[in-house]
Amino acid sequence: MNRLKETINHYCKGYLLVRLQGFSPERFLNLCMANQIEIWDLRYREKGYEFYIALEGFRKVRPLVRKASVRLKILERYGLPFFLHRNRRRKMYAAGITCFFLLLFVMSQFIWNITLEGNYRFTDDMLLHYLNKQEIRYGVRRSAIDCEALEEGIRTAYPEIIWVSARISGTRLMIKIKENEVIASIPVKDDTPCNLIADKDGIVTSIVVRRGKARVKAGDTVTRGQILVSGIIPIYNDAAELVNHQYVCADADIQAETRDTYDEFISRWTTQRVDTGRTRYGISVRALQYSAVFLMPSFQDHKWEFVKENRQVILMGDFYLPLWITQMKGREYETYERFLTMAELEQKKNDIHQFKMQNLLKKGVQIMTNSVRIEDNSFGWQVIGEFVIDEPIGIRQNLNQISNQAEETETTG
Amino acid sequence: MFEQLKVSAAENFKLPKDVVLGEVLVSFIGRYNVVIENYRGILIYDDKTVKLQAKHCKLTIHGRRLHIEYYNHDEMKITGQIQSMEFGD
Repeated sequence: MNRLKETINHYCKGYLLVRLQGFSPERFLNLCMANQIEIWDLRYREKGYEFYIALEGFRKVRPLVRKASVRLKILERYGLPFFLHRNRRRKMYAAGITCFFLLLFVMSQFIWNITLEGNYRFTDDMLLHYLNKQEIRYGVRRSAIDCEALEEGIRTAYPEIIWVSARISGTRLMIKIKENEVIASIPVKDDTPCNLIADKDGIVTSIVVRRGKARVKAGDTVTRGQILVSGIIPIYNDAAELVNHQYVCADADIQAETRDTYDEFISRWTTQRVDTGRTRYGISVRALQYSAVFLMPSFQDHKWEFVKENRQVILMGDFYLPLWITQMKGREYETYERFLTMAELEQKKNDIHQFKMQNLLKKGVQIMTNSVRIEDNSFGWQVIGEFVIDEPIGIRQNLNQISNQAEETETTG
Repeated sequence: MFEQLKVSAAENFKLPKDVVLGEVLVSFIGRYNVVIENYRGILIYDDKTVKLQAKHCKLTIHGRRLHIEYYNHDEMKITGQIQSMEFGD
């Protein structure tokens, strides 16, 4: 590290490669050491000694040269002062370098990249849309962003976000979010009087009633719309006479064995895709709203599939530039129609059946039996599957709705 | 008198002699590098010999393609194929 620092220092201040000849070179070297003149890479050559000396030191060396009766000859000049002197007449060169740094400086004053972290429920698009409404978008001035106000704004706009950290690093705005994982409010329990009715046909396998009066028992066959648990509880007196009804919201866990079927069509034809082996490469450059695509044209009417990889140009670290480069790789392909083989049909059938089964299992039901068969019709094949499942049944039916319906029937009658 | 006192103090109190007495300190790094500290000046230098003046002695390094990488008031680094080193008065 020190060595690198020294090298940069020497380059900035300028240094020389010098040949030393004369009567007592050792004396000159000792005098330089005593006067703290920096000399390095000292080598013995046939014609004398060669060494590097800092420009600053070389200016002080004249009296020592005389004292030691030696001669110095400059062989090479290195460093920034000499470079600038050599190129002093190249005005456009200087202007170019100045423009480069000026452009870099101007570019560094704007935001060219926004990253969002920690958002699961709120998508990037939602948050970017919010930021856009707050006038925070690509190309906005860095100084125009008040990170604290932005944090507060996000927290206010989205109460489910409990912690926000906004930070500007280089030309990048980094927003870190922590969402509330606990439910913000407890759902209000609906206690309006209701029945539980069957939403499917099936055979009840178990029933546990928490509230209401059970109308079915385990082993009963139920049809869709049948009342399973009634929300009307009759109240009897000691003489077993009905005196009143109590209306409650029926609540129960009812498991029933139901049937679930599906029917999917598979065509006899399938579209086969074959790569021809020909590829095309291209590049697309986008700067702000302007873009240019460099891609070799294909003179024939063929189908191409392109894979694109989009990257934003980063100068260093977090210094993002408003320049996006997309690499494109195209593969030519052809398609043709052919008959589906029996093996492929079997595979498709199995895939469909597995997919349906996975969907059912995701719901948390228990599959008792399952079967699948293929039927041939004139257009293709029909995959027919059937599952016997043990699943919870019963949906609410408000008692008010029933009484209203009853009233309506009476009036129309 | 004062010098003798310093020598005995350094020996008795086990002080580093290069610091207290200004003795030359020679550190070899393998066969091709040597760093010499506490030297006074260069007496002879060519690609086969480097002769240095230390406080109490003279130090000669023999070798081939000897090259002084850097030197200043405190230390000097010599690189090259070092063959021998000798001390003289």
